[in-house]
Amino acid sequence: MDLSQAQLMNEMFQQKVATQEGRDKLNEYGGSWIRDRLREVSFADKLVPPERVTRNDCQVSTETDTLVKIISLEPQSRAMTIDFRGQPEVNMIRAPRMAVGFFTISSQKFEKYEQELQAYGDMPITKIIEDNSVKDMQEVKDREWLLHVESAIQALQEEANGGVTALSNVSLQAGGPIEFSVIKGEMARASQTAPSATPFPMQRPDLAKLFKLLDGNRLRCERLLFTESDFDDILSWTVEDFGSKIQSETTVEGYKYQTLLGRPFIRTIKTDILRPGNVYAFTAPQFFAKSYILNDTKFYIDKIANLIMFQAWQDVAMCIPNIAAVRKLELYSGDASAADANAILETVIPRPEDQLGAVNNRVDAGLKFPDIDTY
Amino acid sequence: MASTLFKVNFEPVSNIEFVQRRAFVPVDTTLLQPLNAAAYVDGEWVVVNDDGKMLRAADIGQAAGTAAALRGYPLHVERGRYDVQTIKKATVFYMGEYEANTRIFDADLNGAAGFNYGDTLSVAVITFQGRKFSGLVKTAAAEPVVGIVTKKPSKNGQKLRFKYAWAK
Repeated sequence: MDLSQAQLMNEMFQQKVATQEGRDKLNEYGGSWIRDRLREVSFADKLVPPERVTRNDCQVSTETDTLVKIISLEPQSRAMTIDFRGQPEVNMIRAPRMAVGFFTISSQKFEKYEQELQAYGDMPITKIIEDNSVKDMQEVKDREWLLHVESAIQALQEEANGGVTALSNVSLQAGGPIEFSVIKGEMARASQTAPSATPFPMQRPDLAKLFKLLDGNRLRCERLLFTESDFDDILSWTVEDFGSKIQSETTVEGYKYQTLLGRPFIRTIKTDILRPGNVYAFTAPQFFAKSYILNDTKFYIDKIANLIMFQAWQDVAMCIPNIAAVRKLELYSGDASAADANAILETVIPRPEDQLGAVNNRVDAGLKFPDIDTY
Repeated sequence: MASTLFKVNFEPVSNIEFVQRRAFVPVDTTLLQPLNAAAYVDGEWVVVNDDGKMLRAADIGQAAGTAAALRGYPLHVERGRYDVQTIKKATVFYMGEYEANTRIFDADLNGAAGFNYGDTLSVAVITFQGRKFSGLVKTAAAEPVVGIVTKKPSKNGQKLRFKYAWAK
């Protein structure tokens, strides 16, 4: 976009925002744009496509003005053999239920003096903020979802071990914990160095063992989730892992398939949310989780005197009713349980909300090259 | 006459458009669960620690009357809200002026004359309905001031009305 077009966009924005009609149109425009971006970028939405619900699908608290949706799980049942004179056992049918609460994900409230907008003649800053606020909200949604996934995994791991138990190369080599919902990669397990958060390369047998955690439990692994950096380990797999055909393809074009060992995978660059070294395996969504959108993204824009303000938000809910439908592969040797025996937990779980999307450039700190003073 | 806990215990009576309502994660997230015997209720006063997490301004593990050392913020979310339980964050009135009715105050004030218009308010451990809260009391000594009485409970349906103030 050239200088004149960016200036024109910002000027048109200022003219629009000066009238109520203009603000209404900008709200509509902002709303349409944001919906399209949301379908594409969140990895949580790829794994568990959200369903749109309305107020009529929800229950209201009798104590507060907040909403939940009640979700039912299938009832348990079994069959048995009996002789001609026998009778089966009785099953008083009951299906478990859970409530999932709705909450809001919001962008920051952006404010700018209209005079200062004129300084951004070389870029459409308002459009960039619209785009970025969408990505920011998606990141928060992914973070929330991943925290629930991790809680589900650790809950099963605690149940299998009779309590919180450290899972590290040291504890495994000592013959300690049961790896029920979490397994360590082979290189991490065999490491003779002190437990740490540094991930080892992902090996083919690591994935096969990860699948077995689900496949051996009357479920089937249907999706994998890992970071781009962990995905890059695949490029180091040998001809024994790939076969000569894929090996030669990979050498030239990289790994271009959408499945790995028969399972579709999702890669993410959000390494501040899904930290490197963590690989998750999921069943199909209908065995696993639910995600809802109560109110689609709304975009608010206003102008009071010379101050322009805008904000975006949406109301969502997510839950994991079946905590057995997800498993985890840890490629690092340290303990990531609640025990945090090796003090690495902070580096292997999603960063705090206010630390997401950390700034990479250092322009404001004066680190830019070549460094020229304007005077 | 002792105060009484309702479903809603903190009600703004002034425009809150310009009050900064900020949400914080508690140090103890189990206090957001409504069935917890020591659950947070709206109108209790909290502070924010160095980790950016909130805890009661007056420690209810201490005796009734133990004053808060720091100026706190009132909780703006009712006990058991589903959104609060889901994200484990609760919103407080963090900055800005307001006036509000509250039920989380020391209604008995043993030995004191009761609340009068213009009295300054501080935060301390208070007791009613068999449990302790981090609530409002008349300022005794050099405690941080968080409000000024604008309507006494006997004239306001047993709710204390106060407006924001700050002094230490």
